[in-house]
Amino acid sequence: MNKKTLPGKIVRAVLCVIFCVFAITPIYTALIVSLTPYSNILEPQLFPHYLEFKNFIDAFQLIWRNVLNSFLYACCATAMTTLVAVPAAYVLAKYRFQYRQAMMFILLMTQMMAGIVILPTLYRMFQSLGLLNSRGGMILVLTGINLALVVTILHGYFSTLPIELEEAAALDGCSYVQLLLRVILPISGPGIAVGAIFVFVNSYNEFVVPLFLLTEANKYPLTLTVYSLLSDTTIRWHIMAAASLIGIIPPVFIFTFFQKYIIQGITSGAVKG
Amino acid sequence: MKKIICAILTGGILAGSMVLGCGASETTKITVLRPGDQEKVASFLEPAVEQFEAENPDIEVEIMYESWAGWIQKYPTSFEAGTQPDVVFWWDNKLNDSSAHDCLVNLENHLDEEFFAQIPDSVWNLVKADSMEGIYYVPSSVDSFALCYNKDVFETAGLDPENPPETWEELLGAAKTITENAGVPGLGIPAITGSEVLEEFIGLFINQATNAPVLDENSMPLFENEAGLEALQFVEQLLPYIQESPTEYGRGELRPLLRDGQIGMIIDGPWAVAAFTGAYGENLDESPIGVAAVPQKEEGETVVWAGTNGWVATREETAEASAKLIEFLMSPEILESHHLAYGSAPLYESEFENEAFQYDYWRVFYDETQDYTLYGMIGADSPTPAAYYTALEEVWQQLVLGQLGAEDALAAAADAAESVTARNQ
Amino acid sequence: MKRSQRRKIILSLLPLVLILCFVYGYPLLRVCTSAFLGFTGSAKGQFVGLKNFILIKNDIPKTVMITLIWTFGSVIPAMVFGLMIAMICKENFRGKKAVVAINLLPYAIPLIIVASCWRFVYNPDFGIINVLLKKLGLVENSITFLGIDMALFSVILARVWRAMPFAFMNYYSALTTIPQEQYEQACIDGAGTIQRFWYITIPNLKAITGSTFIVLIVWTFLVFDIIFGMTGGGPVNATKTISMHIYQEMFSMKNLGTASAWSLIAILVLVVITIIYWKIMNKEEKA
Repeated sequence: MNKKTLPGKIVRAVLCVIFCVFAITPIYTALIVSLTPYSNILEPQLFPHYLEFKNFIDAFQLIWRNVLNSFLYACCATAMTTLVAVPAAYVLAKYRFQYRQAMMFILLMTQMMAGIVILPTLYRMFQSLGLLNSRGGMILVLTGINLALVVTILHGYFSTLPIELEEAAALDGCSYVQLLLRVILPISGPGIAVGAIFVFVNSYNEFVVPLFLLTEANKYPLTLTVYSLLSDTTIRWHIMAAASLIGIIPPVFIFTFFQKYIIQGITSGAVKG
Repeated sequence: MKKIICAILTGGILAGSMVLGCGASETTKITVLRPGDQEKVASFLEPAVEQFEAENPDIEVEIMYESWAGWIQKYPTSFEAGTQPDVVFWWDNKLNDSSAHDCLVNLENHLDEEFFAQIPDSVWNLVKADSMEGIYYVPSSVDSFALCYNKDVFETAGLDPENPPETWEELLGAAKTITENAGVPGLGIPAITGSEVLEEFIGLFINQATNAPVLDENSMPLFENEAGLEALQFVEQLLPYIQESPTEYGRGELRPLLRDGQIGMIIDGPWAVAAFTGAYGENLDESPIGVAAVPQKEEGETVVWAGTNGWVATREETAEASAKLIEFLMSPEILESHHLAYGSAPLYESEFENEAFQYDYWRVFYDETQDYTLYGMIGADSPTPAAYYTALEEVWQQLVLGQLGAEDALAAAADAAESVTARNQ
Repeated sequence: MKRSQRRKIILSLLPLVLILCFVYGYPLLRVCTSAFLGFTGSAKGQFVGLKNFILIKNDIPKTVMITLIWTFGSVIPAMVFGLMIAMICKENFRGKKAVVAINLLPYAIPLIIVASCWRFVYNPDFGIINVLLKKLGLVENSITFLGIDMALFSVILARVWRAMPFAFMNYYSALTTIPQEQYEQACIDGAGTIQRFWYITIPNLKAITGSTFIVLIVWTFLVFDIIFGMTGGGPVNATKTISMHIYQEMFSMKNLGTASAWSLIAILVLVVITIIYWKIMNKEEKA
């Protein structure tokens, strides 16, 4: 199987190059634009002709607060989602009870639901509760959106744990909370990591929720600021490109260094539920 | 028992009113928002606010920052969430906007006659919403359209760069000559989706042809007539000489093209100036970029499209302090620094004493504002002004893409505007 | 025992249920009622029957058509290309790690930044495709990627770019689970590459193809950011999918009723697909 003929190797190499070029092109183009001074922006370039690093400094000054905001929302949502999802996933995996199937179906339903269909009414609800433009409300919604994903990933993970664990713990006089904290959590590290990574990246990348719910620029996550640049009447291509590139560093970093978890997550969490 | 409760209540009320009384004599805190590039806003607003606070020790002002694009997207949420700033730099056509309407404060009693008299009547006519009594909005920058053209391109095409087109006929002729002789599109038309630019571009010709606003005080179309058709037919005649794929360009995308000589002419407001001075220095009069009054229809009055931004106060509780701040921001020195920072045209004659406004091109904008009949942004009398832009944009895009002829476009646009109005009844 | 267990279950699920009710439950309920209420003019707050649906009626056929093209047009190529890279990466070769990492990359990028990056690619003046084509002398005038004729195709391509890694990863890990013996046996039996692909690979990928397809359909159908950032639904509504309509009805028309009407249509489609998916998954689990 692993023996390839020469033509086969060439075909493979060509295809690899085509796909990689396709994957890189948009980011590469952004890089060229981000290194071009505004006065030369219309110049056709296949390779960067300029090295205007000042664009990155300008962009960074414009967006660093928003990057911090994004981190804040993403971290809080990750913590809260995990906290809520662990016990729920555990009982869903380990106990057979009435409405269990219904719960699983509802979780699947929420996972399939795109934010845009509920946001108009959620917006009105937040308006009457005075929750618009509050960081807490924003984090709560991010949590709700990601819960199903994490529960599903953990559910798959917990199902593989032997029930004897719990029995042994009960014999040792562990309470339920202790069981979760001392027995289940330590051995579920990888499962929780997969879930947490996805919640973090999803929340960091979220655009529609803050678009509806936040009103003050000092609370915007990065994605909203990029949109502001994108839709400005005097469009500053160079700054927009630099801001985009700075903005993708965290998720790209995570995807490169936690690739194993990402692949695990895509295949176990999303697909099976 | 009852007596005790009464005593407690009275005591409570007394204590409460004392606290409130103290509160009143203390400082009033207000927030102010001038959307736009933070650097530019801060450069004029921060010193202004500092000076204002020094003159009014009982008022504390906090400056908020937000980009234009962000604010346009966000103002409905901001008002509906009750988080809107006390003083906002607003649009003349959003006075009835359902998100903001109930918050806006009538400033008539807070400011005096003399204050209002410093702004020309043409501008007051432009910004009044017929459906509202009183003065809710103080226009601060008036941005009218001018013709910006590239003199080098004119020369290549064999046109006289010192004699830009003054009439529709000449505009069409110049566009044709440039396209044929210079090999670049004669005129740039901004037609990008989700922006107000195309409606305003076509609106200009409709205003000139009909000598009327696009919509009347009941938000019904005023252009479904011979004159309106003439305007659209004129736009149709221009189409062979515009840039490829107009819907991919907004005003911002066209400016670098004009700057670099890749199109011959655009119709743009004073906001365009900064894009050119960035390349050619402040004195555009000596640069390849020419600025001239907008070409007029051969017969009839001189008419130009003008949009304004101005100050509104949004809370009754802080109205007094807000009005004071607005009055201060409209004082000649502050207004001048505002216009300078933001590249708006002068509104007061006194501003020309400033060196930055010495160049002839500023006169073009100023004279239009003072002397022409102004028509501007649409939807001022409707709770959903943005809806008209969306509805008309769809039709005008079809017109400039050649999918609809002038006659069909006229009928479709009238229908579109009427159906938006009908939905709000 | 039974009772304490029950309490345990309830307490464990309670936060989850509360949050889901808050974020999904109540808003969904309100979508169902708002779709039949008036929000503008004299009809404010009143039951208006099907009026909201009548208001959007004329837009429905074209919008559904565009949404279908958008969805299937991006999901099917994404899956085909995803399968192709997965087949390539199934075997070991030098640089494989880099190929996998690079092709996974688009999945990390926020959708709104996907939009901004692709706008650079498509720009008629300095966009890299046009620059390249002009340098090679293949075109004289720029291709207008976001113009009226190409806009839908162009946003779809951006979506393919973003969805491909997902299909790739699914196929990639599914391929590693196909028992190697099956291939070896086939080799012995004298089967060629194409036959092996047809008779071993394809049948083994059936399940993963089904689930990936459904998940991608659901997640693509209502994607908002890419279109919003690239074309805003234009030009002349060429890229106006259901999600664009929901946003526009809400903030430009300021009408929660018609926005909810669009939402309700989308929700019904989602519910049907989810039920189908649920049935398939349960069948597979039992099998």
